[in-house]
Amino acid sequence: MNAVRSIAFGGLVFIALTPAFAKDVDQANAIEPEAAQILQQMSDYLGSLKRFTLSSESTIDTLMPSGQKIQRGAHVDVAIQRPNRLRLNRNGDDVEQEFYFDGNTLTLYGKQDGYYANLGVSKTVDIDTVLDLARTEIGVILPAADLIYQDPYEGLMADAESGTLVGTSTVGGVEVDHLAFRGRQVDWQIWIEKGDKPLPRKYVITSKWIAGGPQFTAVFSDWKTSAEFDDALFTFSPPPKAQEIGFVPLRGKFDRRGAE
Amino acid sequence: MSRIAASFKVVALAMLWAALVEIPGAPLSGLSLIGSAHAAPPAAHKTARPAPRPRNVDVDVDVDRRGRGRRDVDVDVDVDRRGRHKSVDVDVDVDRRPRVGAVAVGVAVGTTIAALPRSCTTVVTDDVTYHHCDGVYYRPRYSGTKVVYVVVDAP
Repeated sequence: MNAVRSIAFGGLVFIALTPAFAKDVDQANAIEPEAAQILQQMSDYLGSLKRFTLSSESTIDTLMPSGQKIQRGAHVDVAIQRPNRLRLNRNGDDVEQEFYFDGNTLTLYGKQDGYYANLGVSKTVDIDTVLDLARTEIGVILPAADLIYQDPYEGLMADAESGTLVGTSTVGGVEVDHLAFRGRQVDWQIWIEKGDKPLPRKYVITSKWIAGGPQFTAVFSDWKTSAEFDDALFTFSPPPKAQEIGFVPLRGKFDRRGAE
Repeated sequence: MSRIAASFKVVALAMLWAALVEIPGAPLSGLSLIGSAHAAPPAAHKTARPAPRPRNVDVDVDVDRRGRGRRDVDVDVDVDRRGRHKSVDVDVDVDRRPRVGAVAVGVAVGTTIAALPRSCTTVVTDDVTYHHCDGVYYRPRYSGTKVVYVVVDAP
């Protein structure tokens, strides 16, 4: 009886896996046009938004030396006004930070410590440029930057080697297309709202070559695709006790070039 | 990996960043994180920080070393993006106080650590906060989004 049940069960599993397995082999080194198209639609739609907000609830696995996985989380509120206004609040485990960009100055303010630092740009630049400069000059990667660039597709797909439309799902009651991509270092999945507002609703990244396969997961909500902002939202006014401490320039290139 | 990374893939790592940050100057073994109230989490997520986006960015650094006290560093960044050539001046606010006076116990000025040693006192001079630990003065800085401590001369 048990043997029969096992065989029957095994058969079911085999049947269930076969289509997916066959598809996986077929698509091992290809990006399905349908998957790319859905991602492109999301990218085009995000790029078309002039003033928008979203919230992100994210978790990340931390591997302890023992191999134990500890999950930590953060909540990020995002406000974007293209071409050159940005505000982010990040609250999570050990982190309470605000980011401001008013077109000329990017400020990081750490509320816990009462510290802040500025990256000043001599002329007004757009959001893409300040995201790049923050990364290359001071090693700051802003929360949600993947989605804030004018063309998110370009960055997301930069290392993609294969991609597939897994199927239809729901996230927070919203019907979505579930896409799965593989890169050299990470595998990632994204869930994109169906219909005329192809917004990202969930995002998962797996560090597949790390034992334990630690993951980052973000669920997006509170999308407002035509928000109105007060300009003060994007300008940092230091609280009385806040202290400016400055950034350490990245890679020590200042010292290298300017060595006395 | 490229900008893939850009944020979500990395951003959450920021809070765990200490062990991954390349900090100018060798950390001092005697000033390790052990026991520090500010110690970084025990282990960083092992995902390597991604390489920068594959964009052609030439950086010309022009450091003005005249004068004393506060020095601003002007950075000329030529960002070549999709054929459009942008010339952008970046002002990374670097405060380099005059390097006068000797630092105790031979710790090099500019040495950066991710967390303070155990026993420190806080000194405020001219509205600037210093941490005084075993004869060495530190000032906080942001390295990325993480606060680090840089050895400075005695205020």
